[in-house]
Amino acid sequence: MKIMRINDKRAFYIRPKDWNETLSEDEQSFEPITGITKDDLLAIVDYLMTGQVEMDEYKEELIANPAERIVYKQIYDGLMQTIANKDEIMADVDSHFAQAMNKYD
Amino acid sequence: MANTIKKIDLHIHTLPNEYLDADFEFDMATMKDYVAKNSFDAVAITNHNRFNKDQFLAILTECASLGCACLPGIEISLEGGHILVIGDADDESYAVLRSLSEKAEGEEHDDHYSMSAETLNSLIAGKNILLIPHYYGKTPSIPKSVVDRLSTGVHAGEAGNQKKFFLAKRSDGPTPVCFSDIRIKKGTTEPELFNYDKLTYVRIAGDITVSSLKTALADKTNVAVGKSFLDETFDILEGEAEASGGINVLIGERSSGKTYTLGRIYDSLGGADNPDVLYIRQFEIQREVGDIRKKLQSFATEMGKDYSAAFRDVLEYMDRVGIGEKEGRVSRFLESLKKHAESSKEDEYSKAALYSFSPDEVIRGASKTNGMRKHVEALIDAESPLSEVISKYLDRENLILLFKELLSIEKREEMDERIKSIAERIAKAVSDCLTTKSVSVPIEGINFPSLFQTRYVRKCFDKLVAGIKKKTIADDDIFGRFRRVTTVGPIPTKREIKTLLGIPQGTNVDYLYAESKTDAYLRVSAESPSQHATGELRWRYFLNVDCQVKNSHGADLSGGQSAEYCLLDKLWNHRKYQYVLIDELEPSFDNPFLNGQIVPLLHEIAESATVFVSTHNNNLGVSLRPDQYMFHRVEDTPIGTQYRVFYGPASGKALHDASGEELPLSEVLITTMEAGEAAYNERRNRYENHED
Repeated sequence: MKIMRINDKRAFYIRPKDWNETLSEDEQSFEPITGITKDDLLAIVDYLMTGQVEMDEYKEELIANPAERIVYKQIYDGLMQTIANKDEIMADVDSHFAQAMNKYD
Repeated sequence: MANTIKKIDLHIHTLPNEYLDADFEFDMATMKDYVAKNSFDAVAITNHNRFNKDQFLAILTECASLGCACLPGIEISLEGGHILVIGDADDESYAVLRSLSEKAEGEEHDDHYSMSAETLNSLIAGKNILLIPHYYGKTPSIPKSVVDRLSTGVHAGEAGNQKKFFLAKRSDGPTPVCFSDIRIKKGTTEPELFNYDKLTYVRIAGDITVSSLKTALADKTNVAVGKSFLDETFDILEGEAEASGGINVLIGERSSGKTYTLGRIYDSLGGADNPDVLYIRQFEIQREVGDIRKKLQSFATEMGKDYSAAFRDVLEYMDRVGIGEKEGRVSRFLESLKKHAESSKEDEYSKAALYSFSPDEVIRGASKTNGMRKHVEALIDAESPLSEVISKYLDRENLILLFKELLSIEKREEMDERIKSIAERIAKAVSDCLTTKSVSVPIEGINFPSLFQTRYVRKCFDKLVAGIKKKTIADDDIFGRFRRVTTVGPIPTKREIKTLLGIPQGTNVDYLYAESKTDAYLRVSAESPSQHATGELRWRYFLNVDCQVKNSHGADLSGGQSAEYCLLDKLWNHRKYQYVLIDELEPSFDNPFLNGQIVPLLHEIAESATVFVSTHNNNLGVSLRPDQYMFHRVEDTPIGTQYRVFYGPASGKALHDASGEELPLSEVLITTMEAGEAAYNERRNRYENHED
């Protein structure tokens, strides 16, 4: 589902507690990206373990508000980097737990 | 020419090899002491892959002054094992040994160097050389398949100890020999110099040369490890007595020197430094009974250490990932990001791509190449008999080539990592520079993939701990009539945790039972070791290991049963030991236990180890049916108190001491085991009367 979007020159995100996959994009309750909290960010990162997220691609000229532009860019870049590496990271972590999981299961 | 018996040690090191030995400094005075005190007739200098003619000639001269022959040699690393190559003290042998040394020295770059059988064949072709591989349990052994490829064949096989020597004498293999493998260095102690488990007597005609040794070693009856040349006996007590490779019983009145003798034997075997020796001292078992609960707990901890290894690996991995620290950075990141954004003072510096650069902090395991290389290395380093199985399917040369190629791939991977690390250091330096120059509020960087890793680790750990739900049996041993069960279960109760780890009763440990086990891990890890347990015991907060022993009725043990359990527990692991020394068990045990449980167990132990038992008890002294007796007698003489040891086979009629004086065995046994003939007859009559 789409969790971050750029609309009408502004940058938004949906708080993870408000995520609802049954609603269309326009029905979702988007908040300005500058309101994102630590818990929101950790919940988004946690969600990447099992789900797919969509985000509007960051383009400087699409966001008018400089503060939103900076926050959106930082989080967008970080999440994209994570998505690109998550499978490899999870496989590596799994390999560290595999022996213990088998032994104490 | 008549045969004479010579005492030889053809495996002596006088120079360290930088890849195979701990460094040591050769000492000629110690060399002379070693030869003189042991009265050797011949020795050989056999350094790892090296031959130093100058040093050999110096040793040869000193040995000659002591009437001892000295042969030049070299211990070659050959296809995963070691082999002694020994020549005569002449120019032809020196040339062969030098060529072997030069070949090895030119190719040896680490402890994996190994010469091929074919290379060895070509370098010794047509020369009068003695070949003695590490063979009967002497590590690293050379497999038979490699020995079969040696064109001259081998002239003997080195055994790991006397027991293996005795077994080898009955086998179809080459003639066994036992040598010291000693490093001659400053500070060598007396017990090390009298290393009686590592010498060979050889019946030989004429002087000791390669040719005469070859002739002698062609017949197994020409070798022994005891000077009497009796089957299955070896020298002990600096040559003053002989022991059997099977069961030896030390008898004699109280204070006649039995404990002293056991101590000397123990020291000569290396004492506490030798993990192959078990020594159960007098009254040791009684002392242990008082602490049996502690003993079981410590056993549970030991078992737990094995059982928890995978869990401890996880904890160490989590330490490296640094969950708490990285999660803590998220707040700081968001705070600084928002301040930076709100200031809206973007400039050319803050717009640069590297302005908020944060290095890759994902903790990764060793590469797959590394894991594969270690497996291949294990195949190359395998010892006999596994090495023989491996060589049936995989060619050693190819394995070495594969190892080398994997090593070069691994090096490339390491180089890539280093380049990445250098690039990141440069990027970070640029980022720091941009931050300093920019007027905007700096952003405290965070590496998102690394944050993702910590969150995934958290999830895995919570799942792991939550998954340990039921008690499982980690170990279940039957010891005679006892059963010892070790169980592993989920997080111990509050009371158990506090007892096991010595946590004060008032301490709040509720956090251990909260939903997030990762939070519990973070808290346990942050606790001061003096308050709780040390870091190595963190696993005990999450895994409950317990050990219980019950008797055959499923009940707790009585005091006597606890003593029996403590003894059986020690003896049960006998397969680990090559020597078992026991000093007077009888004060703690009754005759039915000694006769019913210990006597058969000692016989089982003696199949693979040499046993010494000191006793006054006739169950152990007589019913044990030992192979050898050692009778101790103390005598007051005009020159002072003398402690004498008479020894001999239990199948013989007499015991004798080093001077040759004899004592009738039956008289010795009746006196020491039965308190004399009169007492023995009276007891027998009483038993008969009770029967009537």
